[in-house]
Amino acid sequence: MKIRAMIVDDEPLARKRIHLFLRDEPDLEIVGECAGGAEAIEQIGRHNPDLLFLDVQMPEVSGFDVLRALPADHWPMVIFVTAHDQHALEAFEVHALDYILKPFKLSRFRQALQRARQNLNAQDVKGQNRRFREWLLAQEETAYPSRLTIKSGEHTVFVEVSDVDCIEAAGNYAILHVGGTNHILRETLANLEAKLSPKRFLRVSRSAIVNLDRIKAVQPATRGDHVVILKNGKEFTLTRGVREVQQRLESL
Amino acid sequence: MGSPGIRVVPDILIYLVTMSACVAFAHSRKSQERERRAIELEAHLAQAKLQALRMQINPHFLFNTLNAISTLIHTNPHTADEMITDLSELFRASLENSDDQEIPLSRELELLRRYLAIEQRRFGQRLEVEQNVDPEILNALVPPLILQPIVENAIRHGIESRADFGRIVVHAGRDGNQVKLSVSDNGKKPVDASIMENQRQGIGLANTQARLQQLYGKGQSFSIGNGALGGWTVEIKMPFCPAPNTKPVI
Repeated sequence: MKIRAMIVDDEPLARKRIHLFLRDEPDLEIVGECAGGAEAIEQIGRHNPDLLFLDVQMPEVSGFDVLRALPADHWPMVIFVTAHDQHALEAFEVHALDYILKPFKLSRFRQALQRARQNLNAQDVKGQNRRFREWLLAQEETAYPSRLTIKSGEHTVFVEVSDVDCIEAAGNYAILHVGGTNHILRETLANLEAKLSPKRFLRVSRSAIVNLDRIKAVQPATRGDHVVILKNGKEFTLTRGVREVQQRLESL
Repeated sequence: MGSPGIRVVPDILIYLVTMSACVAFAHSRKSQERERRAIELEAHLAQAKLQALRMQINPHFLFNTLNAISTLIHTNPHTADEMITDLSELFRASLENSDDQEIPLSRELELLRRYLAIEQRRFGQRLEVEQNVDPEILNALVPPLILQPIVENAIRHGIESRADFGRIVVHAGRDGNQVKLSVSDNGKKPVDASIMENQRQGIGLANTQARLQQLYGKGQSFSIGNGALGGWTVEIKMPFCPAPNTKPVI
């Protein structure tokens, strides 16, 4: 059985290098190549690879974000390929697979592959992944700000992230619903989403992010869709898998 | 005691001595002032070079560039070759020992071209660069490394923050008796207003501003504002002063 591998890096020549080096490895098959984190999350879900060559520093969705977004039982083996990242070294200490620093020699690359082959037969993959995931989630808590600064005219307002009920998109603006008050920000939802911990907030659709704490119910609606109902009465149509949302709610 | 005529002489003497002391003092103060200014200018130039070096030694830039070259060696040796030369020229410019406070714009743009060539090879289709340069001002004198940090900044906050594609427009033209340089990007702006303010103000551009101020005083301006591409636009104006033609024209 071939090892099914995926390459994730935002720089085309960096992907190409791994491609070149994998040409001489008959037991490896490249099932996907992604130029960004968001694309990677989607492709990993579809192809379910055994092995991931993952760059850490990528715009908007980093290599760590990719791993955080995957369900725990779908984690592939990960080889970090990075120019320089202290986090990668720390991550490696927890999750004993490998990291390679750019630029790398063919011999070093082969060594990492060898490790992956051995690991594929190891018993403790699940345990390692669990420890790695715990480490990642611990990192995340410190990485997200606890409050947002909103400037309107001369006034600056600070909003505690935990007070935010939901956020709706309105053109180039975002409306923050905080208790009974609304704040308008000139910001895209994607940018806001990156600011908020995925443990506490969920993008339910293209135009809304909700605080998981504020969800009262998730109900079926017409045409197989589902609706998320918040404690404040607001409703949003769900455009992502309802099972995933239920899992996230259960893990709170 | 003593005639009044005798008294006058020491008075004049005292007057002359005091006067010349004052003149000498004022003169030395002026030259001290000049010296201080020259030292400050030199210090800021050194700082600009250091900043450029720091950027080149930035592991993300340096190692990703070397990684790209190491791929090209297998797939496209000619381009690899060019990229090594471009990288070397960038280092050379910041290691250069010259204390010239001004260079022709054409030289600054040449350096910029090399830097952008590297970034474009790294990012491929994801980086789009447009340069509009009025050929009439290619010989205008500008401070060395004046555009470099601004463009690097635009790339870092522009393309490196966007997963889709980054766009940078560099414009160099003449506005009456002034040279007008501007750099615009389509980078994303942070949601947090305080971060936004820091980003707007700072990031190594303080030194650029100080250098302009010292060289041209009121004859220059430096501004950062919302750009037409959605990100920031940095605009610099300084007096137009063509470089003396040192090369013999044949």
